Amino acid sequence: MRRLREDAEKLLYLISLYTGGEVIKWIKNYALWVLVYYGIINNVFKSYDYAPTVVMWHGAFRVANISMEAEKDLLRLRNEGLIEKLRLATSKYRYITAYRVSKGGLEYLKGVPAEIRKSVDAVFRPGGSLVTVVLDDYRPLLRMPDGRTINIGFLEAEDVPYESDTYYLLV
Amino acid sequence: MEEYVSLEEPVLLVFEWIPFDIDVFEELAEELEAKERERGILLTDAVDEDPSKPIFERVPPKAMVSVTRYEFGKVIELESFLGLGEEKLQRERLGIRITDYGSVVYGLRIKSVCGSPKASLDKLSRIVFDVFDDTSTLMDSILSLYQRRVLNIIYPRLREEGFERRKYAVLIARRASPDLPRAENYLADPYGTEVRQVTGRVISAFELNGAKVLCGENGMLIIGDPGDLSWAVIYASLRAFEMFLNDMNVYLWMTWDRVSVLRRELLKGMVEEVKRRRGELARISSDISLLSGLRGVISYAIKRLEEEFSELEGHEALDTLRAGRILLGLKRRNQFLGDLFEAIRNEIGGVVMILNTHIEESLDRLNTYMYILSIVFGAFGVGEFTMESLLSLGYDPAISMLMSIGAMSAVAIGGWAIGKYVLKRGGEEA
Repeated sequence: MRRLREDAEKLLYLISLYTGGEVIKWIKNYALWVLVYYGIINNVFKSYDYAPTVVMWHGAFRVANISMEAEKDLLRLRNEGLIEKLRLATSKYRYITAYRVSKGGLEYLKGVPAEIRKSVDAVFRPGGSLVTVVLDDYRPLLRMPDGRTINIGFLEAEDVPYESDTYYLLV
Repeated sequence: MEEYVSLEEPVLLVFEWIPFDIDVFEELAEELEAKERERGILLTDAVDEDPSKPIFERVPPKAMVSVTRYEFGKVIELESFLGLGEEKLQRERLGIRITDYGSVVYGLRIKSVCGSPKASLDKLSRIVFDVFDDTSTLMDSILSLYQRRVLNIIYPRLREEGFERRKYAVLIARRASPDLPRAENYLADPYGTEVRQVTGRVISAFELNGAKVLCGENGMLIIGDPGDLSWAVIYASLRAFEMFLNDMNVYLWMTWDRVSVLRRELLKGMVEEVKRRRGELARISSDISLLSGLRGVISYAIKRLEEEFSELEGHEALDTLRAGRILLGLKRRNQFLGDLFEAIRNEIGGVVMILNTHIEESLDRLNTYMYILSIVFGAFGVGEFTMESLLSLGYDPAISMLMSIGAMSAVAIGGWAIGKYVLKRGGEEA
């Protein structure tokens, strides 16, 4: 298999941090979206961008900052057999998707350079403990290993200054 | 962050479907005094909670609209200015086209972004969602309470910041940089992910009269001049209508799930908070009634879309995009909606029956306790009366006590036996 791009390797390592180990664990897509966004604003994923997208968020439609680059890499990781995807029904929110690193993914990560792992660890595992996503009502917050809880603005769309004029459809 | 594709003075069209029929449409025309072409009407999304008061207080206008075109029973066009009285980064003027069957289009030519006539797709994706948000606020000021309630059911918490309803965006620009020869070139790295920020997953990429068209699940990007845009309008209208029906289905399935959970909890004997559960069921039932009333409006919209589609049937772009299949899917979905509403109503009826059974059982238990209490108090009363009567007749206190205990016991045993007989008869009759 060809070597993945650096950000795809970081994404794979990030998923492994939350789902690797003896116990079978899956990371839900909403939590992964939040972590990826946190990784982008902290310069972990250097080639990723995010854009406001309307998504079903805990029973209601709302705008969230989703990374299309990360979505594309998730597809690549799945197609390469490095992660597994689970779709499951819930009683409240219809369906959710969750991911976990596969055996192939863990094997692949053995060849990933230490500096790539370190850059992910520095942001998502400061001091050796993982940053976790918690929900306050519907709002996603990050609980840091030092006990702080922070709002990273995942559900807040940025304003861009612009000027517009009316346009009518001539049909 | 890198910005790879930019458009020059793009036009943004945002499509959505809002339940309208010919009556609601004409009522709106009347309210906007469309026939008079009244200009500069100030609008607010606030609701007059006390119509008997002659003066409004503290109702800030949110937008200003002017009717620019009106055709009876067919179309109203408005010019609007958003963000009145707010400190905003945007100076937003847009055109609105409302049709009799609920297809609403907002159109704006983006003259400059951050002071430049060129706008990257990255920045445009943020502008698209700003327009989504502002047009929801604007329409809140224009729509009837009935329409607002329908939208609030399907899109909960819509009036809160950040909550949104889905809309379909079409971006059109004569020139883009880089100017790539074919539409599919824009799907390759590094442009593809930026295109997807405004279109969602790309379904089709093709050329039309020299223009490049990239069509996605959430929006469309047209680079160049494809000529007449009627095909894009009908396609985007179909997509926006499909989004509404999808989202309504999501609400219905979630509601069904919720009612099923309530049923399971009640069957397991979890009967606490009966009042809250009854309130929740009443709300769901009312929402379902309101939504099922939309079926006529949906059928009318499908009929009108079919008419407009038939005028363009065989158009190269619509064939490429398989628009006919979308229309067919909408018709089928409308047929299934009736069964879905019926099934949810039955489910709600079943849960109400279980709730009523629990309530009847509680009332039966209450009646039994009340009966036992009345026997106890009655027996004590008889005992006291017997005691006092015997003492007044000069009987020995010990004998009076024994006689009164006997009278109490006789009343208690008799009352219990009669009560049991009555309850048994009642149960048999039930």
